[in-house]
Amino acid sequence: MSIEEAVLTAFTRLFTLGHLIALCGGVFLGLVVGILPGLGGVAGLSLILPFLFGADPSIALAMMIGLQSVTATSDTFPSVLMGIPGTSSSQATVMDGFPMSKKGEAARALSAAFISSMYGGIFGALVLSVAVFYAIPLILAMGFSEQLMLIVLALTMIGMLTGDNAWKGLFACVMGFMVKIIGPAPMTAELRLDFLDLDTGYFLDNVKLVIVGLGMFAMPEIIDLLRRSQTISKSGDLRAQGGWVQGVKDWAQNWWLSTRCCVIGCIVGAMPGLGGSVVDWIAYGHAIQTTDRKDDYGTGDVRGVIAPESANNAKEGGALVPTLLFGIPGSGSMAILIGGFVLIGIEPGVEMVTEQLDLVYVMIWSVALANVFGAGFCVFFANQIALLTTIRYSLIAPFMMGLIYFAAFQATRHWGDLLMLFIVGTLGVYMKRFGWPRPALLIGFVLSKQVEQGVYETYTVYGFSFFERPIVIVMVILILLSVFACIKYKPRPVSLAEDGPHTHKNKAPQLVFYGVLVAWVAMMFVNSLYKEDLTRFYPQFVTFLALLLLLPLGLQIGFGKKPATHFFDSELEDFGDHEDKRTNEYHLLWLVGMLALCAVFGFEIGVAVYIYLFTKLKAERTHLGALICALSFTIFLGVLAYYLTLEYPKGLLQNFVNIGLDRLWRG
Amino acid sequence: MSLRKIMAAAALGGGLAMAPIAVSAADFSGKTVTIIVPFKEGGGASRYGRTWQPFLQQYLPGNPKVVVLNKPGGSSILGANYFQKQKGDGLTILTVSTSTLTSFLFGGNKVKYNPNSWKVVVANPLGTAFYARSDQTGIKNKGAKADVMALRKANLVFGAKNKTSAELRAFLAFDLLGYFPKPVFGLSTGKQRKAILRGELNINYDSAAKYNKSVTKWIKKGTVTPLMNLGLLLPSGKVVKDPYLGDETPSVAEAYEAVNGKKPSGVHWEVMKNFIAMGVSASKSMALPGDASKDVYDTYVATFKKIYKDPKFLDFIKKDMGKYPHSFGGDAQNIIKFATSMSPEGKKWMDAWLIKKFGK
Repeated sequence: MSIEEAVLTAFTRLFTLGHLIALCGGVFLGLVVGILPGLGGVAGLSLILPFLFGADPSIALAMMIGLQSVTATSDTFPSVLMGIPGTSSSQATVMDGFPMSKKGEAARALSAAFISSMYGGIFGALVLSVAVFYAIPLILAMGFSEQLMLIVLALTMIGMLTGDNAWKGLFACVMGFMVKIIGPAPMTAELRLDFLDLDTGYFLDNVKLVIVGLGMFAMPEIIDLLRRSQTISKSGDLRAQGGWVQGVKDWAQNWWLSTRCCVIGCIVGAMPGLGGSVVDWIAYGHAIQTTDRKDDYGTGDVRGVIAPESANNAKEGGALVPTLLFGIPGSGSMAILIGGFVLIGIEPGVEMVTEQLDLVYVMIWSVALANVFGAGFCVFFANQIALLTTIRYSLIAPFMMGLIYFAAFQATRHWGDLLMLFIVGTLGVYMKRFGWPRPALLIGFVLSKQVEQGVYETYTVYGFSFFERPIVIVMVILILLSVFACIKYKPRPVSLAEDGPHTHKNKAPQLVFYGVLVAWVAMMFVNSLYKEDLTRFYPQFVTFLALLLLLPLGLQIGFGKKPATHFFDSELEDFGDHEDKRTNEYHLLWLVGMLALCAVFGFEIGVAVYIYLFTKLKAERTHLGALICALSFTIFLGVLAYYLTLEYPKGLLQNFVNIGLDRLWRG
Repeated sequence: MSLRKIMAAAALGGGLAMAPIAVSAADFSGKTVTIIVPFKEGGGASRYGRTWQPFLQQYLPGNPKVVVLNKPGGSSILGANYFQKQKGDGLTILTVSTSTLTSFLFGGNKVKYNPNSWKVVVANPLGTAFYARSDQTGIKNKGAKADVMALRKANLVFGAKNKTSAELRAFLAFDLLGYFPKPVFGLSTGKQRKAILRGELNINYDSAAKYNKSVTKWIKKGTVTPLMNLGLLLPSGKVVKDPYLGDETPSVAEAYEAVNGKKPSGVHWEVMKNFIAMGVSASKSMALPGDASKDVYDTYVATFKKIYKDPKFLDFIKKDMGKYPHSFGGDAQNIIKFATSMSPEGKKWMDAWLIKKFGK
């Protein structure tokens, strides 16, 4: 089949009514699962897979592609409006998107995000239409050593995210390594820090990204908001700073940045080893590295939304390349997509380019079209949904808490998920308070395994000869340039006032937190002593690195006599005129109470009681109002459980009596 | 209507509602049956579990809703531990894969399940196909002996998840034939496949399903050359030719015979047979909890037999597991039993072998 023929056939098929309707259906489902934190393409595709058996192949294909393409569009809603990353590829969007919501610019942030998403999706598809012919040699050239270099490059780009104090930032990254180290070692499956497991089997697997993401960003932000303000948006007037038109204008002004991030998205998506969960951070780091007014990032700069959102949709097209050409999935959702392909009789492989080029084009352009539909839907509803940010926060917060614990439980469906979220979330609360950059931890966490395996694989296969490989040399140069850019263009902190958060006074809480970190590192080192070689090398290297960073920090915090960046305590900041003067610890205790209720009565009842009490006592609603809130969340859980085959954490009482509501929806 | 009449009617209604409904234990109408897959979505085991879903829904008495629940973690240990605690009411059924059995033998104290306590309903063998890069190993498919000799001289690199994962069967087979590749641990099946296409690994294996789907294409292009298969262990304990791969490549026993002039024997071969059972004959199976009643067990066996009469199902599996002889009930149970019961002598040999080959 000639290319012209293929293009023509593909176009005709693309615009048939059946194809369009199926695509829209898929898009709609994709948007819904994308909005729910913790659920993404994997959950959505698993949902429709059973119905695909025996379905018309072209319809099934359109549905799957439609669903898969837009989860990275609608996941922006929770990221921007609530500070909860909707899926792992919209974590960076939280950094500036959420502060924008707080400033009352939610609609602007959302529309900029959706336009960027749409552009990214279309750009990705266009690049793919051409690249599909040249992708194979490129992917085959990316061996173990090249992948390792790619990861190092990503780490240096993310170096921009280390915050005011580079030592703290680097340690946070190493801390991310250390969180990932808990559980089985990748090369031996031997358990590290196995005593933490307490015979529950939870640490048979590493801690899941969902939990670290929610713990680092969502939980601290929700607690912070509860303490600070009555509504997310301080101004309460959505249109004050321009609605969705302003967002579109913002994107138009930054189209070049958006394009560069699209390119990053395509490359990262197609490359093995990096995965979609860092693409947003790489784009975000790139934006800071290459644009001016660096201080604005993190305070609600629209460019901080445009960059990751352009990249995370462009990535979907890129990720289709290895999936289609090799039948080797690049991510969990791509794995299910392949499963779906096989069900409807499509066998991924290089032959697709030569023999079924029309089909390949139908897929690629369906991605583009789905992005247009998806962004269209979202822009249309953005103004309405953005109104959420004007609701009094103590009314939304309990739902948000229930929702993030629900999302966390979807990680492994083990009780440990709930406890782990609480522990990581508590760590996040204090990292936020003491100024240890949380994005750096997340990046370290995501890349840890690849660093460990990459070094081992490269050394085992190549020894030191890997430095002779041409692509490696090019990448080493890029890495050096990136490090240079990092050092030269890093934003400098502005004010270091005597009575500001950077003061050297009242440092006891910071010293306690520092002590906890030292104890953790020491424990990890001691535990590694008893392991076999391939298990212990990496944790020993990492703990050594950690101590190397902690030592100067300890000296500075312990003996520093004037305000400096290594000091930080947000409690010493001016809080403004907020109503609730409760501490972090007070809100953490509420959560302990919720978990205790769940442990006794099961998740559905535990969370419902939590919502009821919180709404009654904190939001000061009537009994009836609180009851309605609690019930509606339970019904929401029930509907999800019914359609997505979910189960919820069981309580102790449920061992004796079935008081869980799963009877209602599981038969 | 008088009050008395109403009360009588209510009593009658209540009585009716409380009367035991005469339904046999193995009727699942209105119920939800959960297929537990102790692996991630997308892998071979998940696909296998999902294959049954629509058919179980159709053929189980009472047409229950059938759902698939992926419970991954610790090469299936988490999911299998969870399954071990489930009731045998027929509402929970487990997808068992080679890793579940290997983990049972080598998973240490984290393993809280015993496959021999389960009631195996159906076992589906799937062959293990070895292949190697033509350019790096010098193999040209000129007979088993020439291939083995070439491989003994070649600089072989082989990817595995870890030293006690399902790839053990490959290491044992390589060692039996007198060569031992340099292992690269920590590689998932997908990563292994990519690495062999890049030429960073040069010897690999895949299940017959994956072999049929992608490896045959690479063979056609000349990237890799088929090498051997593991053969197939029957419920009787006898190792026979692989019904699908056997025509193209020699089994490991045949390759051994071609090189050494005699059939393999001794404790290494006995252990190898356990691994052939685990890796090929019990490649995939479905099991009910151990306390499932005879009624429930028989119903399930009968249901799977019915599914095997459905032409739509047979057409769906014809490219992979349909090429292999499945077994039901007791026969399936025997295969799992054979796979997981290594002799004390074999176990001792295996422990020493692991230390010798991979260190502490």
